[in-house]
Amino acid sequence: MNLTGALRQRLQRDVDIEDLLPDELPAYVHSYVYLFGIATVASLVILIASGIWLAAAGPTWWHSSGLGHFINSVHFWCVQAFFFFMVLHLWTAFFQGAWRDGRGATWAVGVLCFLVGIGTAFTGYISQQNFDAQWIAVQGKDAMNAIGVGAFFNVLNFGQMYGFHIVILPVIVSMLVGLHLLLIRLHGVVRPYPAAGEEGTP
Amino acid sequence: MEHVPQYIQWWFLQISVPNLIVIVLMLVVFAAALLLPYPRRRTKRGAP
Repeated sequence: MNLTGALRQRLQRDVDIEDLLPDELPAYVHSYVYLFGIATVASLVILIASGIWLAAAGPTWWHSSGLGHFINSVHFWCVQAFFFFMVLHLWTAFFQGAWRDGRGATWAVGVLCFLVGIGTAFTGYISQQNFDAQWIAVQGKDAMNAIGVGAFFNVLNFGQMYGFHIVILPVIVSMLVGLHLLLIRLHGVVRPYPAAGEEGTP
Repeated sequence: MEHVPQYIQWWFLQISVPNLIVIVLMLVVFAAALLLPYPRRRTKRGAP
């Protein structure tokens, strides 16, 4: 069997359209804590939209015009919202034991989203084109050199950092978030821990 | 960004006031999300 046929068989076996696009969720998905994940995704969508606008218009525009300042601020505050909600989502997933019952890959991909997100935010701070960016780059170069990647990831090189920030890392984050959502759809939301005295209590 | 933030020092811990505010706010939002009652809606199907 060729690769296409194998992929088709795998998708037919594992992917159910009702799981991918459900219109109902289990009864236990009934708390505001379940909204932190989608709040993170919403922040990411606005981040990407405002980022495309900033990249198209360029640093001179976002530093010298009123609208540029506004879109730059939207982008900045969405980063804060993205990490704010992502950490709350992480707390929720941790205390729920969200890796249980075959959901280890979902948890691992979520961790990768977090780590690559930090790198994306870091290169974004360096790409601001202001004194703050210069300060962060000068401070950060020592850390990069200390772990031995300074020759390949030069935080003083604006062009390289800007490329990482607007192309490479956002693409990786988007793919990881897409995979994370796909895995959640395939495996469903984890059941809560059984209450004390219930069957299944350790 | 142009202003130097105030820092709070306690033993070996040092944190800027803005970062402390964000962390406290996260704890408040997390507690509120746990404790506030979620609105009821029509349920067609229970847990699988």
